[in-house]
Amino acid sequence: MSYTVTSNNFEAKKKGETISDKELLELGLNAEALVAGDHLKSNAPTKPATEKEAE
Amino acid sequence: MARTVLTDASVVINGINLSEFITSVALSTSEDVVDTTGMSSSGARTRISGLADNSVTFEFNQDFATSGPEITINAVGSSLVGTVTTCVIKPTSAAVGAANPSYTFSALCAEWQPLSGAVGELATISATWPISGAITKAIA
Repeated sequence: MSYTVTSNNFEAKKKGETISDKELLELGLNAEALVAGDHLKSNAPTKPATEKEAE
Repeated sequence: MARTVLTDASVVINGINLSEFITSVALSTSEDVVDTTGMSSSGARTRISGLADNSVTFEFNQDFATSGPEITINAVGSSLVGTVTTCVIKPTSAAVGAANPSYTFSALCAEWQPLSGAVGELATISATWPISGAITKAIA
């Protein structure tokens, strides 16, 4: 999984750059808290809404 | 030798530079003192050091806006409070060097004060966090 930096205060990368789970792990950073704090945005693909099966 | 007046200390918590909100930082190390006195100690105690016990104290000006201390440390959905997080501090924001060493450590965010202050005063936060493990000092 990768993330896009959305904060000007993120030290490892500049705003707009991407960072991977592996890089965050190596830096000892908590990805969930960074996403919750609006410092990173997850690039995980969103699931398409499932259509109701026709009866 | 030049003395150091702190005006530009760098504080990075979980990868986020919170220096602009920090008004005070104190990194402390103490060693347990283990008594080794035996019967032949010539009337004076002898000692060796035991385990190190490290902690850090930050004082923040609170800010609930984007990139502030509250959302960085205590965000809804994933708070750092109660977890161990990586911190890096330096005397100045300049590059790491012999005159500007960096100190990297894992701190347990054991306390947080989302709101603290009296009428007419600035909302501030004082937090002392025990450090889990050693402090790594780098000069390059």
